[in-house]
Amino acid sequence: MTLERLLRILAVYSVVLAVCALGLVWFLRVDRSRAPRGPYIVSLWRGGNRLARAVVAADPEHATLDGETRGATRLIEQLIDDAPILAKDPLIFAGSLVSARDGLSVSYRGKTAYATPTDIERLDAYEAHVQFGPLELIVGIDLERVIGSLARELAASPAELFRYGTFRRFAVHDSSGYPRELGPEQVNAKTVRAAVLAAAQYLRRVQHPDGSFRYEIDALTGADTPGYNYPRHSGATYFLARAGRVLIDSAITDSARRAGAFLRDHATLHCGEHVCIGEGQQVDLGSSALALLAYVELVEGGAPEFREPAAKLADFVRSLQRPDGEFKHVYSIAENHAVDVQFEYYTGEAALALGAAHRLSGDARDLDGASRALARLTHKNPLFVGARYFWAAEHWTCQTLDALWARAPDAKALKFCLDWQAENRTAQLTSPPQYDGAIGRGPFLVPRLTPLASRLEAAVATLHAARVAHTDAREVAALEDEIKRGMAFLLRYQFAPGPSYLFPDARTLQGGVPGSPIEMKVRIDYPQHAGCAMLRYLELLTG
Amino acid sequence: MTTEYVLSPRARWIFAASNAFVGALFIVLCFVVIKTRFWLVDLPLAVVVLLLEASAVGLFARRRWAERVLRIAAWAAFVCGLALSALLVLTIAFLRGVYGEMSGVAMATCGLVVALVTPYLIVLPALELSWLGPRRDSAS
Repeated sequence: MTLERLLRILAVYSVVLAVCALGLVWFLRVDRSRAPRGPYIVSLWRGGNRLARAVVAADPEHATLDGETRGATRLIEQLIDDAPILAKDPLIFAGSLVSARDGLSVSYRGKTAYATPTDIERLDAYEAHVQFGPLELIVGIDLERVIGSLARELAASPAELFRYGTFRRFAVHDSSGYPRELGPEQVNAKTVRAAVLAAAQYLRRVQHPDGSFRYEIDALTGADTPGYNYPRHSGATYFLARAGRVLIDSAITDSARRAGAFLRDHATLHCGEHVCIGEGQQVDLGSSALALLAYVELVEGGAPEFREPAAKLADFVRSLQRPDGEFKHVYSIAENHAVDVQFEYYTGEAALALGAAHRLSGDARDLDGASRALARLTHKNPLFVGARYFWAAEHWTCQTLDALWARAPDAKALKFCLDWQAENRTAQLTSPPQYDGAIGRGPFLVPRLTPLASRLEAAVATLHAARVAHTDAREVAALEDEIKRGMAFLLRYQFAPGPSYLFPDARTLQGGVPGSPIEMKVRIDYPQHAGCAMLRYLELLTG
Repeated sequence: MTTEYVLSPRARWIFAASNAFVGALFIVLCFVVIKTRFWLVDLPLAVVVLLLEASAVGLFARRRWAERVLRIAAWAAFVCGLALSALLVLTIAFLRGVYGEMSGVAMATCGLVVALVTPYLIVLPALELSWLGPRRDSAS
């Protein structure tokens, strides 16, 4: 083939491909910025059940709904724009809806049914696992659930509907008020204080009389997820103890005391000559470190009965530290020795716990242990280029930096935490507006709240240390902007009260923090991380 | 019967080495590193790899059929490259159309894959086809 002919082929190929690609974008595009123009989908919801629906062209406030009931919520969703689904291949179909934003309509035998974003949310059908050859991917909706629901509305079989129905995705403007419309400029002492209080009151509300918590609640069903986790119990206790002390709320402090007593009375074991926290024949460092952190907060909040348990746990944590600052993360009770393995988080948790213990004990070994662990985590070889690109979850590390700054300042650790926050800023989303400030996870997955909340715990701690250390004002300003945008995202999605019409038990969930905009589950560490970040920021805001 | 080569000895060595390298690269990346097996991808890739390696062996050994196989291998790789690029560009268009401003990372990933395969599956085969010139009877 001559060069000329080859170039001609490539030119034709490029032009045809460009035209096809642009045509495809135009064909599939939904314009969310336009004024709503479509019909109104009016639904009546109560306790997670859709009681009635009407689709009207105008005057949705007066649309007649069968079975109008007191206490039900009338939700109005108006179509903004819609677009066709490219193909009925399950992978392409499932990936053709944007999680938490798109609905799906189907026309069949002259009738049209709508699965609005609220319907799909209620079906828990966003982010389904799809098998693609041997790969399992999360791309878009759970087709079986959504089409099953549409088929019931049209009195057709799902298979028949899937084959013969004409599907379109659509964007809506809704009247639900969730997520809240709240920007970074509204993040202030008043809004943050209210959010912290609500998160703490949520944990109080889900606490059992013995001090343990309802570990995870599925908001859409009201059911509990089985299982329990002592590090997370300790984290929740730590947050409650701090919140009770900072907000001067005796009911929250009492709740924290009960949670602390549960740890002390139900989860304290003997690890050789020391006491430790956990269950079974093998315990991890994290449980004891976070329990120690919680005990210290409880003592400082006026619960002296935790002073001795704190001192004993500090002994245990110190006993696991290696000369290089790292910790052995597991203790085998059965074999009566520490196991030198490492997991994520635990070294940072132990460092922060020892730093806190030093405030109580005044024991130089606690401060030294915390400082060495912090150095181990943050002093990186400057020639290791990868350290600029690959980061572990360092939220405990950077809280340790701040906690130790007045007693053992570490400039290298501050630089490390500032660099990590700069990296986090590059992952912060700016659009769509409701996700502004969140950490992106790609197009198919909506951002999660807790990974952001834990980064904000570190960001607020770093902000405080940076201010005290007189770091460059521009860097401090960028950090504060990051924090405000992140906090606004958390506040937007905290249940205040959230989409309460979808919940069988909305009252209990008030103040809870969900896993994500579409994962309506509240685990005890979700309000803990969000609450701790907000509480520390509240302290900075109020001086 | 004598054999008339289109390629100079130097070009023959360069194309033989290039095809051997690209074939080996695809074997390692797609059949050793990536453990996932999917016939729709594996089958055309295996054919291209076999043709590339066969052409390399033939060119190194100065076989009569070598340039014919080189031409077939280059066409196969070129068509696969164009098909793969088209698929990825249309995937980018799909992502942009459906996900709008949220599609950045996925679009960049697809774009990166296009950029990575272009030298091996489009530029090199195009160069080989151009170098070989129009098809003609290689034996006289």
